[in-house]
Amino acid sequence: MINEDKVRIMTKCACYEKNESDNNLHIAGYFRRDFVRWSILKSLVSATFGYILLLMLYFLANYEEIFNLFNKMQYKPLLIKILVGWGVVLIIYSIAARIVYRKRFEEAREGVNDYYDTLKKLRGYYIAERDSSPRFSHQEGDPLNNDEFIDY
Amino acid sequence: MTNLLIIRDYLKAFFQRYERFLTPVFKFFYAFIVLMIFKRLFGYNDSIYSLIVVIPVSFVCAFLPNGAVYIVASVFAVYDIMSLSLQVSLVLAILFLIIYLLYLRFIPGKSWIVMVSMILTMKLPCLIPLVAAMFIGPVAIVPCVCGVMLYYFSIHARQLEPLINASTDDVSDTQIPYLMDTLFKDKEMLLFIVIIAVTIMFTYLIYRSSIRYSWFSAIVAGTSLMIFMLLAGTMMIEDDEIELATILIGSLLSGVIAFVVQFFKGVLDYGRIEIVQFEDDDYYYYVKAIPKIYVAERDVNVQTITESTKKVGDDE
Repeated sequence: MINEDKVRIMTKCACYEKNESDNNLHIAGYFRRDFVRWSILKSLVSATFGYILLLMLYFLANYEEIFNLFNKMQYKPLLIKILVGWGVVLIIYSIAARIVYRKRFEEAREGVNDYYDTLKKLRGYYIAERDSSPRFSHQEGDPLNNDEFIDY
Repeated sequence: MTNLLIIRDYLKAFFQRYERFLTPVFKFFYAFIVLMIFKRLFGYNDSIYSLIVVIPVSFVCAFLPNGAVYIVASVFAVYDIMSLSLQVSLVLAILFLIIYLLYLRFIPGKSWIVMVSMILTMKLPCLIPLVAAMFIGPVAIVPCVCGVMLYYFSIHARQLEPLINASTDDVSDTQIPYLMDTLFKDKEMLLFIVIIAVTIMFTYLIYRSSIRYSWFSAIVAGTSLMIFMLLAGTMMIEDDEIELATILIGSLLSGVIAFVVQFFKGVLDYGRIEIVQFEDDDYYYYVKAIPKIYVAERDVNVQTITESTKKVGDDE
């Protein structure tokens, strides 16, 4: 006979797995510090490429002026400006990325915690079913006896 | 008012019920409208905007994530503008890439704001900051500004067309410096960018404040501020192309549309119908979970009060 309460919980879990799990379970698999650092690194790489493209636009728009500077061997101030600009972009992006990805991690962790709570309830149903049914015997290695069944 | 609330609830129920079919339909029209407007903004190579190409491409976009429209529209615009000039198309490609790398990669799922603000700048620029502040918040400033810049890029690229066609000399060396110079010195564009950024921040702060009728105050204050800044800005830059009547009518119309958008904002905030499959030791389950829908009913309470025909003291 179908246990309606168990089906409700399984449906809840299945809906979460279908809609959210790809991203959230992946994020929650990291330690917060690792996730934030890795995300900042990726953001800084794309910010650097974006900055290079901005420089390309600048060079295309002012190529005569820049060639003149190079002809006169006065490229040092320009290089310093470019490096300072890059530094500013990296600082802004690392601060913004830190805020955004910390928030994203917290949201993902919250969702995953709710999902694990639901899984815990489901585990309760399975244990109750196992205990009441003669089909199942208490065996060594039974995943329901294992505390690692729900991996936090 | 009750009738409007009932209509809103029915709309919400309708969207909830047919979400699976409506989402691709909306995405199809979103992609189709964006490409058709790109034809108006750029339109140097009409063959790629023929319906035989646009309809199948929009159909494919209907089943892809929202970001696909940004990529497809970028490819269309860059390929289209190649007919005008290879250099200009290179600049446009770099601009699209910069927006992607510096913003969309960082905050994904917001590419539609770039497209919508680009489209709205054409006809109703005042609506952008109001709707962006209500739906998204200060995060929307960057994509809105990008959309405005892309719109003005298309205007300046069009101005370059007669120069390229008329000149018998090789003007390829001067195209990019000329385009960039006119674009970044366009006072009208800079004015719109400042107004959009300030209005988004201002409207958002009032919208999120804890005062009573904050949304109403936010729209009224945002519209007023925008009209004031547009009038002051137009006088400052002494631009004859901006018509004051257009500014006033456009701003007031934007305010009214913002009210309508605010009223129907909750319509899209619904739980989806979920179809999931799973199994346990005994059964396979195919479940269709339908969220409960509450539709407000017309609250009619007719109380008829008629004068008693018999007076109490008549019997006596």
